[in-house]
Amino acid sequence: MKKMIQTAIPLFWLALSLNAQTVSTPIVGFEKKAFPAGTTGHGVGFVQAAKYQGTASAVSADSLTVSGASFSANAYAPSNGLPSHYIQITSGAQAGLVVDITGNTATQINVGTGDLISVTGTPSFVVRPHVKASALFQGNSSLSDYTDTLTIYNSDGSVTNLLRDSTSPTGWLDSGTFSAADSVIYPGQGFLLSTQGSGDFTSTGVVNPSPTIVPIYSGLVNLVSLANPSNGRDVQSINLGAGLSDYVDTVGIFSSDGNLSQTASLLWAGSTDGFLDSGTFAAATGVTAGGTSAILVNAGSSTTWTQPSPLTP
Amino acid sequence: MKIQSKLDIMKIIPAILLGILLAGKNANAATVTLVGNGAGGGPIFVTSGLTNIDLGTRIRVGTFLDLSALTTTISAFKSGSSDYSATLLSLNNNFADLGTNVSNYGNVVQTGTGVSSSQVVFNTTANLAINGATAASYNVFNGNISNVTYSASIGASKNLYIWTAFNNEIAIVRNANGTGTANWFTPTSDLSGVTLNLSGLQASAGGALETSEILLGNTYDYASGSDLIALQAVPEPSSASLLALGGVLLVAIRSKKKAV
Repeated sequence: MKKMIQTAIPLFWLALSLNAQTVSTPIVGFEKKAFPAGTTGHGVGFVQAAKYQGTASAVSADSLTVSGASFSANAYAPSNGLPSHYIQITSGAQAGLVVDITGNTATQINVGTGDLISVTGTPSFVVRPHVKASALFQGNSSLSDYTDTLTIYNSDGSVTNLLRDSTSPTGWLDSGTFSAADSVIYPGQGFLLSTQGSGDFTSTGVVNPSPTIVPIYSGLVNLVSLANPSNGRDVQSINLGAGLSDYVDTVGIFSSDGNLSQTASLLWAGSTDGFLDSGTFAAATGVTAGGTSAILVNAGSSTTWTQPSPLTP
Repeated sequence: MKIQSKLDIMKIIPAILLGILLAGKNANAATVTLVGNGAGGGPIFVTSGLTNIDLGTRIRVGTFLDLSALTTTISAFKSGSSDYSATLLSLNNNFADLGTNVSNYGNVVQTGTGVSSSQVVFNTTANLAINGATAASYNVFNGNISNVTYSASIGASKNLYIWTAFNNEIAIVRNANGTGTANWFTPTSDLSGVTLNLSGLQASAGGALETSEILLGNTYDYASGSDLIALQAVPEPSSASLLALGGVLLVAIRSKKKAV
């Protein structure tokens, strides 16, 4: 098995390099990510295979219509209290926008009130199932029941804290109520794992060929991730600063040793200077944002990060 | 949750213990970033004579514990009823510093002159063109305070202040209203950093200085370049008070002469 993993990853990268410019079919892959004991920040490098991809014939603030489509009614509707699928816009000015689906008819996909208000024209889009904590850690034997936790910081300022219980239907309990619980891990979102021992988890899916727009909220904990199943990229070249406020907003890169200390604290100094080390005010050089490591963004004003597709050279 | 058996208890206890363990590790320490070098169009501190404050002079970053006492201290200094030393003593006794190199209170990260891990200082110079003048070198500060854990030090949702004292002069500022930039409050999460850029004292980027945020100090709000926040000295006795004092002395002398 170990040998298979060691060989599968190079095959994935071979496929990536061959198809990076002219990708027409999804690039399937997986990533086995190790973590030490303690607290570590992670993201998910793959998205789930698309259930549908096409072009909208009309878009309103709350829905998207595809004339001639034949979706099964509410096939993409939320389940168990969580959104099950999302739309990702793949063309136009809002390419990369991710929106939860609230329901659907044969030809119309509904979203939350005003969620598509910024989308104009008739863009192309995909429908994908969400990645959830339950699926990401399904059957994982390296977590300890009733000791290990997974933490997700939500867009409304709330915090989802899940406690591992492998006997629960989802593999997790709400750490407050001790009832079975689950959580969506959005594209580009990060999460924290606090574990008694070291271990690993495996993410599978396809490489997202589109950019992804990740929301950044003022005054909240923005734990994000490059969502790229690679070794990572220079923090100066991932477009993270584009929406940030000069000499105000900061970015923290975490250690991967389980202590969750910041190995780099960076201050955005505008498009000319890029990120500076916030202690020395020297240009931040050689700082890598891990492909599936969590990045902390502190923003004074709400904004977005349009992160490049993993296929972008 | 209903605890049904010993097994349930045995499952819960390790979770609680781990929670305590993780809380004790303070793994989520944040960084407080300091921008006092005019970057981003922010103002800088100068003396009351609009000259440089020496490099190595300490900058205090933290929160005042008793705001009522702070108001009293500032009023007394402004009126001249409290001198520089008494005012400093009062401010010191009422202030909790970050960046003292004490666990949870953070370690200072700066480069330049007089830097230390236990206090923020004016550490560097910036070439700034102020009010249309030719660019000149000003002593300023920048850097950060790393490894701050708000919950275990000064607490969450506390207004952060910056103040400094130099050659018998003092200035105290804060950004409580959050116009211009986000306010300077300690976040509710120990994971979140906060940036204290003096540009937060302006109503908008490069805009007017908000005098309500400059608790002690004089403002010089220019149309171009960085604005200045001048330290404030204990006021000199006014001419009226000098005349009154003179009158009292005259009456005293006459009374003495009559008595003789």
